Amino acid sequence: MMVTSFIRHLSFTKRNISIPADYRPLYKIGHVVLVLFLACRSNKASLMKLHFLCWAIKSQRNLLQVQQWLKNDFRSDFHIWGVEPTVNRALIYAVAEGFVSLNDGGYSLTAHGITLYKLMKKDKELFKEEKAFLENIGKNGISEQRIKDLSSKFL
Amino acid sequence: MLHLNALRLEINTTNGLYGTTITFESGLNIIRANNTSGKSTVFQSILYALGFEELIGLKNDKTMQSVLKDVVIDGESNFQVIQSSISLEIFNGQEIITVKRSVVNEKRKPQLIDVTFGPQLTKSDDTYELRQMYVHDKGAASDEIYGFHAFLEEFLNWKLPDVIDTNGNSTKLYMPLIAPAFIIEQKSGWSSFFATIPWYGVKNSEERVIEFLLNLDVFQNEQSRISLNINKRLLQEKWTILFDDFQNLAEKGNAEVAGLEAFPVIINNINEIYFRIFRNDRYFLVPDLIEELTDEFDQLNQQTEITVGENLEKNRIRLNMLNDNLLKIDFRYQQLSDELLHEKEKFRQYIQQRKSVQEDLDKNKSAEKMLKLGGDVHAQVANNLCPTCGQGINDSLLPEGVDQVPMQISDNINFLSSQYKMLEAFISSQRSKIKEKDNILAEYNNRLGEIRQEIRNIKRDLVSDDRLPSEELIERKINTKRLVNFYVEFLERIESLRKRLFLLSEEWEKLKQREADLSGDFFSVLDREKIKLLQDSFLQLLKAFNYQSKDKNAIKISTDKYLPVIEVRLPNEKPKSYDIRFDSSGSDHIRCMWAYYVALLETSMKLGGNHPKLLIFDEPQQQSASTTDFKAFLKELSINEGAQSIVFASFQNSIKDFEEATEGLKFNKIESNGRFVQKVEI
Repeated sequence: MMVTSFIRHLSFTKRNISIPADYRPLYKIGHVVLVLFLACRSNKASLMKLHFLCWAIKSQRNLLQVQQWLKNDFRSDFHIWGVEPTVNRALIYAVAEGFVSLNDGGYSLTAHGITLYKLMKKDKELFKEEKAFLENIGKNGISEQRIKDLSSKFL
Repeated sequence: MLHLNALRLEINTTNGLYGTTITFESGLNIIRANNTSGKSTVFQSILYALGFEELIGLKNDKTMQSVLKDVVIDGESNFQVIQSSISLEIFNGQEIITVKRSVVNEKRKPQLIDVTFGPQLTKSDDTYELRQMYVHDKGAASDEIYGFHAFLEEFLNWKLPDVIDTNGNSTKLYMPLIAPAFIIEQKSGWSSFFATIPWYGVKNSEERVIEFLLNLDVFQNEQSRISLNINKRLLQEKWTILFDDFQNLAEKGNAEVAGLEAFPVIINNINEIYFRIFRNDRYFLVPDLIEELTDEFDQLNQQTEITVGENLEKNRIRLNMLNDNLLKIDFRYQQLSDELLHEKEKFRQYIQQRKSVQEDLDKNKSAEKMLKLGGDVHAQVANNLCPTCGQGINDSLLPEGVDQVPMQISDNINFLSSQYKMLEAFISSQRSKIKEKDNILAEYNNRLGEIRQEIRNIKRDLVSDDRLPSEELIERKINTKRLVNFYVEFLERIESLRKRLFLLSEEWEKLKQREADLSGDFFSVLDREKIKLLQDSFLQLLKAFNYQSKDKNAIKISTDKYLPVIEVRLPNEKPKSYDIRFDSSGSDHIRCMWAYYVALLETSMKLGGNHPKLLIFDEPQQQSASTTDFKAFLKELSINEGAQSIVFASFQNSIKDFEEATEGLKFNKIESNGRFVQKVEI
């Protein structure tokens, strides 16, 4: 006689997945706050500029590329940079939380957002490289016009 | 001992001098005052003068109340502070000194402390010696001339021990770590034992503090453990150097070391560490190789007596064989080169992956910090709630349509860390794989060179004078002789290295044994007695203070943390203990704190500990503990001869409560007439 055993029951558990830190709301909000405070005149920027600088501090590679561009006085060719949906979603949250406010086409940091920045500033290790990079650019380092010129190449 | 004689606040304002002077007695002092009278200012001033303000939170003047920094309120008017300082007169049983520290003073940093060698507050005199010291800077705890805490240590006749920090290095048991054992602050001091202990990177600092206060011999063992750790580290260094020596020697002899670990281990059989050499497609041990080479040499020796003519046929056969070998080895060489290239590429990829995981890990750590900061500023997203509609979101910026639940950040970090570890393991195994293949490749390369040389020599022989001895054979003979000599010497050097290794291994074994000895029960008889007394007085006090929550037989003082725990027996008869906090009601928790801090003092006084014989409690009547029980607590403090206790209490702002709680007790009453800080008439 043949003995056959049947699998009577199978179950699968859906595990939580690992996602890149870029997809964490507060992480991205942190980037937005840093960009606005450190590299934007009167803590205010257009969406395009926010996208550009958030893309720049997204990875070591982007960072080096932008640094090179700055070093060459904006002359070197900039091949491509990314506009990321995460930045848009983070901005929605940031506005809803009252860190950032949206007025006449630009995003600016609110008092609440500045409070968050101050907390972030206290932790010297937090976003160390991002901070150094953005501080180096400074509030007047990259103007809106520069961003317009850059993006007009793609549009 | 450390007793306070008097405290003086001096605040210069735009309306002249304000301030107060309070004198303390030995025994119980009660500072009774209503909530807005500046009681906390007096309490914090004591901490500040002693350089212990970290117990309230921050260092230096940042912690201080606004009355000392900004504005003095007098009736309806506010006056700006232009200069302020705090003086405290303290007594160690023999000498009296006065310390003075500025809060607001343009010319003086708050780190500076003036120490006057005399009772400046109670018996002012300008002939006392004055020395300037400082706190909270590098050296404040160790600089014997200028460091205030180093000075205070000597003044209290303490010998603060060295302890181990979280990096395993030796560091001092800083004085601000000890203060929370006898000064209990109102806002967070009552939440748990030693709640306000500052972070100095000292491992298990609470335990070390209690060991010091009770002067437990365990500390001595802790010292031995420190020195043991240092010795272990030294030995590890020696081992690493020796390990490198082994590797270098192996490289010289085209050999590999087998059985040797890069970190110290106990070696039982030194023969398990050996060298092997890859030659002619197989591995040789060094003695075997010497034998093999000697045999070859003997054979060649016989052959060289024969002339070229006689050798003709033999040479022809050997030439064919060599050509065959050349092809074979050359083929393997090519194959192995390809493999090696492949392995190196894999290695490079692993390194690349590790780098990106590292970057990811760093970013995740930032994300974790941001999540915490978000919580600090009450961002809804930090609690996974949508800030607009309040519905749950899952801590991600994934588009809504994506039906995936991301890991929590902490899980994600663990996940990445384990990936990182895995890659580390891959990389190290890949590294050794490459090294092994490199060695074999080098050996093939040598061998190819040798064969080509031999072929050339045979060819030359085949065309030379028939009557001469073979040149090829002679050369091979010389080479072989040289190799034999080399490996004989090699073997000697291996032996001397192995001897050194064995000595280190023995030393390591001794260290491990000492380590095992230290990990056992290392309380001395007196230690046991002290812990027993601590437990007994603790329980007795609990009873006196009317503790109800738990059966008192189940309450023990834990021998590893020295804190009260509840011990229960599990069904399998194993004892299990847990923090007493979890099973006590709020007011019983406060009774535990009263009892514990007093028991520490009493135990230390009875059995020769280092307790400063000073207890300062800020608003101890927390969690609506009843007045009767509070009275029992005050009574306990008032009968402790030789100790000083200072209690700050509002008695629910009620004179009646105060009189009830203190009826029949002996104590020094300190009251404010309105506010403590008042205009000083000169």
